[in-house]
Amino acid sequence: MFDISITDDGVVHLKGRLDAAQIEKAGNVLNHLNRSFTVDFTDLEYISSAGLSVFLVARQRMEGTDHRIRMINMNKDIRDIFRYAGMNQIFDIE
Amino acid sequence: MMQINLSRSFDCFDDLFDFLQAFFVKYDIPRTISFPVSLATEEIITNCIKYNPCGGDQIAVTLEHKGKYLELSIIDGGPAFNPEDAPKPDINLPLSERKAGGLGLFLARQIMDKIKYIYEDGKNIVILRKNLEP
Repeated sequence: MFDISITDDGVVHLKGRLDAAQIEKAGNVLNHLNRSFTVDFTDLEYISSAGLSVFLVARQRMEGTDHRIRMINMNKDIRDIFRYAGMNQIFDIE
Repeated sequence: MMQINLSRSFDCFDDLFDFLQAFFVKYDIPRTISFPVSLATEEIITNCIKYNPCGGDQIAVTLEHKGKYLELSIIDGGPAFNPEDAPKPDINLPLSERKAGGLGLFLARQIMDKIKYIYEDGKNIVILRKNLEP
């Protein structure tokens, strides 16, 4: 199960398991955001390299702008995966 | 040992994760182990789905508790398809030069303790091991 939603404060919330079968659903939301945004990982249990790629594409769309993607409340496993993939260099992970 | 046969489609992932979860519950496997094993499994199967279209209808996965480690085998048909032949990604490239994809096996290598590939009787077999003790 995977869910992605945006609350009234503009924060993107992820829930469940972001695997290769769910990247279209995630991309449909992330690729329509033409602004800086925060992603709350509190309820995300799992991410694979396919999930990382969705964020990479969203970040590349912003290149040349002042827009940023801020990521908060990652659990240790997910934080490690971002680090192993070198993605901690291109996102603001708190 | 537990085994599942998966369809060659991303639609199989619910079945895959249910299978893995049942194994983890049965053997009381902690998240520090279940997370990397799940990730490595998905990455290898994703490569089969994306890059081995001639592998046949199904991909088999076996998972076995070997006492001090878990052993996972992913068995696929088709011509020899060594995942180790894939180029290694450069994770320090600037943003504009990075490509989506190509990270799966690279990540699996970092989070598992051993990965071995063999081609036997017309089958591609990737065997992964995760130690249960440090």
